Amino acid sequence: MQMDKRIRFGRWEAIMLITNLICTKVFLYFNRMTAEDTGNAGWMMAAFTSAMALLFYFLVMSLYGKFEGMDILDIAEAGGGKVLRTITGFVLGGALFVLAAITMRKFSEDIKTISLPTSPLSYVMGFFMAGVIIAGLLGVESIVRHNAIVTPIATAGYIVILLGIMPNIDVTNLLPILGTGLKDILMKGFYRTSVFAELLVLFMLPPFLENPGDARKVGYVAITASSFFFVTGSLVYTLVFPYPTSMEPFLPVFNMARLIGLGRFFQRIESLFVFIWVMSALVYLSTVFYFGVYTVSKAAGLKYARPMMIPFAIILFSAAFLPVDLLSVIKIESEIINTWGWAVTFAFIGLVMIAAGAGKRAGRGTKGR
Amino acid sequence: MKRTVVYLRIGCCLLLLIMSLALSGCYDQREIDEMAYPLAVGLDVGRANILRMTLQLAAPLSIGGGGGGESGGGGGGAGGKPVSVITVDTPSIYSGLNMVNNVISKEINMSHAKVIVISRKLAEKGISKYIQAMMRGREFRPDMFIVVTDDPPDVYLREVSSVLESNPAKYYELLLGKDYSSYYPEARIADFHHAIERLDIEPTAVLSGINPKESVEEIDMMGKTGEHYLDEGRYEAGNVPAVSELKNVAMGTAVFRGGKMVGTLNGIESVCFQMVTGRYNHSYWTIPDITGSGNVIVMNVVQRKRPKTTVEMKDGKPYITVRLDLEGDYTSIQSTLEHEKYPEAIENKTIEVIRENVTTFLRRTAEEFDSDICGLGRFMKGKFLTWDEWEKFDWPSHYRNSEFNVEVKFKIRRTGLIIRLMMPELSAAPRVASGSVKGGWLCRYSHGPW
Repeated sequence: MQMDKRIRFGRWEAIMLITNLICTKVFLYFNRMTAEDTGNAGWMMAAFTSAMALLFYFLVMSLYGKFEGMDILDIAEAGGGKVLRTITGFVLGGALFVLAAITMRKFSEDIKTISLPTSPLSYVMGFFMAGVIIAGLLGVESIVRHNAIVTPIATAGYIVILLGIMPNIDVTNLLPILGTGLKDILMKGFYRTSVFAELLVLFMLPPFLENPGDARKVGYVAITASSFFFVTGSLVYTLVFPYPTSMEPFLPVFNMARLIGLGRFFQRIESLFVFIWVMSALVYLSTVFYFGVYTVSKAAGLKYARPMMIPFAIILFSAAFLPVDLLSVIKIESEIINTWGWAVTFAFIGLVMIAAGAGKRAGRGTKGR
Repeated sequence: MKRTVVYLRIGCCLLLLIMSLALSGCYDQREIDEMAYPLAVGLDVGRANILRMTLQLAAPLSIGGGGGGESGGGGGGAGGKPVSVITVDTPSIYSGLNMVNNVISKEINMSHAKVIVISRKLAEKGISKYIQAMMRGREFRPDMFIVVTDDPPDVYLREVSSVLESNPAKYYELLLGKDYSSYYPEARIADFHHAIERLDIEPTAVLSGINPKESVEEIDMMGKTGEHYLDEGRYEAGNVPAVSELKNVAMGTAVFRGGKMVGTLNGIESVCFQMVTGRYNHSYWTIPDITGSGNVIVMNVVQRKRPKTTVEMKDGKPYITVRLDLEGDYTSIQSTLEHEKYPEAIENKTIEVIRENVTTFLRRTAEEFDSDICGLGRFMKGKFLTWDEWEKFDWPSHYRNSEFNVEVKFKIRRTGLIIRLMMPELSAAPRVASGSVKGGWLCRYSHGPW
């Protein structure tokens, strides 16, 4: 795999990339999902989930020490040969592909609902597809550098929305303090670590980093930053939308932005939301799609990934239409991706690293003998 | 490599061209002058169908031309009027929009609707199903005002005229969103929708009506109160003694339980409502003078701090304590006593008046309406750890048995631009000798030091 080998980017770009990947769901459904899981204690669940994600990441990274600078496919190959590399590549590439397809469909449905109601879904999706294909052809450097610009702008816009909604908050919305109960916070909080599923892109990044040793720090900073947005997002959402009404909004942040009205001149802030959200979505899709294709290509031992972009984009476009309706997409997102994502990002990658570590030791032992 | 770059550039140019055409001219393209924008939506019980829906449509050319006759009846087909009203009987709101689209040439777009006006009859039957439809709709704004009127909305919306404001949308925003009148609450559709679904608060709406009086003689016929004044807050929309070109009056609050209207509050009760919820800004309070002379003291009362509310359960009954922290400025003192110098008596009297009004109001919400419109249940929620426990407690069933204790803190801070009045004959009150003390309060002209 020779593509993009000479491309290097810094820690800042990598942090922005991972943070945007993880946090995009705040715009889409995260806040509502926490309300569905634990009622008005969603912010507590978000905090617990974040703490668990940090713990899991710490455990995985403690296994990574021996493979500093290698991506997960190289690690798999080092420990288990081409077979493990191929399996790992197809599992991770498949996971990224599913994420891209479902998110593509969700974004397009959202755009159709709030901005382009009479346009056909394929037409709306076509714009995202165009962006994804161009980004894929331009390569990882363009995606990452574009991310480094878009993420701070999206963050600033998001913070403006959170601040603008402050006059609408009611502190008593946080009561009863434990929401639907401690059990829900802990149990559901555990498997909702899946919201950090996009972290698996981080395990493909080390070869691209200027200093490969930065991968560890990038992860910690990105998880901490994402945790901040998850917790504040969920907290502000609960303060604005009382439970059980908080389970209703289709797009929580959009609905929140619609409520902002500071005087007669500062109204209809949701237009800002649409702008930052579409920017963030396009970058998300480009990144996930690119790394999905890159991972599968590398796992298959292909020399270049670029020729695969358009065929994979066509498959992605078709796959995005598989769910029959919007509710099916929400169900897949909530009950599969955000319930079992942790198994791929933390458990599978952890197992690959354990297997690689064991394989490496065994290889060294045989050699010594 | 060079060729690839050229291809990419050509590709990007083509894509930009396609996108600029596709994004600006396809499916969702809308021309602003091909849309009709309702500013107000009226809902009533239908006769020919379930629902009678009235739309008050903006005539943009008339509004832009300065309103009224200035535009020369140019646009909107309203003959110079800034609005045009259309009424249909329909099974639902969206079916009604379909029907209206068959009548008018432009496509209805609800994104500039400012107010929803509901007839009392429909409000009493229940309006949850209509509110949820509007909350679900992409075009309806969640910050629309919600108004209940005794008059049929089709009549009401035809009578509403914004004489002082050429833009009817701005008129609604200024009238219903203003913070200098406390005789009706600010009621938005999103809050209303949330309150319907919550256990700890009930919804409210602005009470508005048409003032039918055409001449002062009609006010004369309302009867006299003799020498005693009748507090202006005792009125409700529709019976306010006023004659005006502006026919609609907002005064009072419509009280709901769930999605059904169960009663009304007059102006002064609406003030109390806002004081208890902490949304009170300021208003003038008229307090009878302590001399019993028939004179009054008028003060501008403001809420210094948000109220502190506690709820305790004793013997299965909620004991609710509301602590109000208010302050006021003198705006008129009709008597000869030096209240500026010795404000304590007036402060105590004000505390007594406010406490009595707020307690009566709270008792009405519990005993008469059985509706916790102030959201006092929110202060009970904190005593439970989980949502299940709170639901099982069933606050709405306890609220009607509530006992209220209202504590008022009130200080007079300022006296306006006059710090003492030197007028010899201000009232018909018996003169008190200069420098003498009556009831512990010095008369005017005492010339004593401050």
